[in-house]
Amino acid sequence: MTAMPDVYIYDAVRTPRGKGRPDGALHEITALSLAAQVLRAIRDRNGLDTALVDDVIMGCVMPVGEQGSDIARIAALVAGYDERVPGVQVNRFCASGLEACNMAAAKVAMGEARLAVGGGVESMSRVALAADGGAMMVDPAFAFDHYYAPQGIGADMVATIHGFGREDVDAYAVESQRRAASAWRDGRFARSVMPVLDQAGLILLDHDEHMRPQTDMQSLAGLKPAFAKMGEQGYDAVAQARYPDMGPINHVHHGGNSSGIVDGASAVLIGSKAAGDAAGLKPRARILGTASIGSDPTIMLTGPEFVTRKLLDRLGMARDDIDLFELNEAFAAVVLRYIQALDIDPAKINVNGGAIAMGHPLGATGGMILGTMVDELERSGKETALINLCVGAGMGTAMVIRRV
Amino acid sequence: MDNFTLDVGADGIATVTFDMPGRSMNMISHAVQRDLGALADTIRRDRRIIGAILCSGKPSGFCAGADLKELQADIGRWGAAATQDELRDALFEASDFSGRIRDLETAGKPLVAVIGGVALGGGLELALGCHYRIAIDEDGLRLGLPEATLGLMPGAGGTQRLLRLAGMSAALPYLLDGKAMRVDEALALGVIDESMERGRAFDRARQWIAEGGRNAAPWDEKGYRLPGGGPHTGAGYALFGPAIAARRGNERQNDADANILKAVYEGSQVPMDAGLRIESRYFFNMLRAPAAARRVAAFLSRNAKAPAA
Repeated sequence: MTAMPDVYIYDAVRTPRGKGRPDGALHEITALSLAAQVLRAIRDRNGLDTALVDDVIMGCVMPVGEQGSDIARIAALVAGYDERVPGVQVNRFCASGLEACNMAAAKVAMGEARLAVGGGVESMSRVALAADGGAMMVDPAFAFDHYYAPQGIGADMVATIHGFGREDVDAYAVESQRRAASAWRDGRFARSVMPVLDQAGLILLDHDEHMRPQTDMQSLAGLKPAFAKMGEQGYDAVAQARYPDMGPINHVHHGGNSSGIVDGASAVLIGSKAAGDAAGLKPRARILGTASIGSDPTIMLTGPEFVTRKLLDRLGMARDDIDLFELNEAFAAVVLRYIQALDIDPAKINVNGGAIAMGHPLGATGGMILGTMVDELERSGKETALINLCVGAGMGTAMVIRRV
Repeated sequence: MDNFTLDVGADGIATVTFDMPGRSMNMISHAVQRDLGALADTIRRDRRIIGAILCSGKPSGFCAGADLKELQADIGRWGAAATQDELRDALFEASDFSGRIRDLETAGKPLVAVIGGVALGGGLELALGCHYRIAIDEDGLRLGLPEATLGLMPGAGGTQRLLRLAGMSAALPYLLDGKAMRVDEALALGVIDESMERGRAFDRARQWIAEGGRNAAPWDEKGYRLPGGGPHTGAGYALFGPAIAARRGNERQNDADANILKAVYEGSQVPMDAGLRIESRYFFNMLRAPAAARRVAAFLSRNAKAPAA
């Protein structure tokens, strides 16, 4: 199979990530404002005539309350986009932001869109996790018949089944913090991160607020497993019923080796070569292909291996054709399992740290880490990157890009 | 009406005595279901009747539940249904008892169940269709919905009425485990309203009706709210998710678990009549599964071998 025709990334921006708590810097900024600010930024720094944008696609995982009623369209209007620009909010759980970019690319590839904006928004401090409810946790047609367990249990299952102990996952977390701190020091996020402004137009936050660069093995060792109690509530037994050979679950994940709860937004400008030329834009990367998969929903978080294999096969590429891998650090064991399954050189993956250090603003993350890879390919002079995320209910979503 | 007698007193209160001829114990047979329909019709239409007391004429108690021999034959027939028409007819039959209880509940006049001895399964479901329930506090009082202990589920409103009386959290153990209810538990659940000695129970029932009683169930009143709320609430997520997990992870897998959980989950989000229809569909599905016929047959053969109690 061949690559998608003629689809380019012209630019990518993101907000810094604020702590997703009432005392987080972005708590007093609405989700709508976060989304509108990234849409304005990507317009203004590219001198973009928004009438050329045929869709604004934004991931949002808790699309209720102030994030409800199609925040993408509302944000485009608030950002001052031409009123003819439509918007659509999408939800593929943690990969929503990347899925939004995949959809934008598909619309460009099939000619529906000349230019499209992908990305996402999530104010986790203002709209809490699980605020959208849903059937997954409580409808027995799924939860009972399909052995539902929460994703923290899935993460600990990955560690248990694939042999990662507490030291392994903690060591990964320490390295994530180290890489993120080092990347910030080197200015590696400078091109993507735009400060968030307050209601008066003053800079409210210009750096990722969740990072703890002083983290070491000793400080992590004091943290208690976050999902042991959930396991005792009955979910360990569900996991064991589904995986009878697994044995007792080793609960290794905690706040320090799992993705941080944060606020943020991202926007990625995607378009055809012709549309970019007409708008006077210079492409930064070409999108070679995109994919999503489903796999066992109980362990839930091993989809990245499968979506990577599917996409590389389709593109006729091999692991070694990819210079940089970016896998969302939902939980340390997710990345460790991915490295193990595909035998990836740890020096090639999540080179600038990830969500353990900087946080995972659910719907926004996919667009953020895509931007990180566009920047890093340019900085390092490397050619190709594969961006992917593990996704609730056993899914995985990925994109492969090549620097232009 | 072979299985019930109906006497209307001068005060307009009808005493309905459940007394199957030739049996030591009342059960829910096809004939009983037909009689219940006629009874509901009479109570609704007869202008002399201002309310009714439902009780048993058997020393053994109120009612022991389904006539499993008949049910066994029903299961065979229902299991063979294949076309839409056959399925519709079979589901209609399987819903019959539930519908007759609903007829009584909505007949528009206050109904009191006076329950002594055994009131299990379909027997308790019949009592739950009355608007007030008085237990006779004597040795041998047995209350519960033990269907799940046979791998079956309540199919005549038991899942819906216990849910609406007690809330999801309190109802689940009695539905999923078929746990017997002690008198104090039954009072707390709302399964019974009062408990007293035999001598006072009928006077109290008459008094309740004479004082106006209640001619509709709480869930048919405007403003009714499910105790503890539905599954899609903060409390519901905290409670119902782990409740499902506890069954899924249970080594003692029960074929009825999924059907009961689904009837409760789905039934908790709709009005009573829809909840009863949903329960009937899961009841029907459960009985059509091959395991149900095996379980009923095993139970009947166990009982046939057991010495007479």
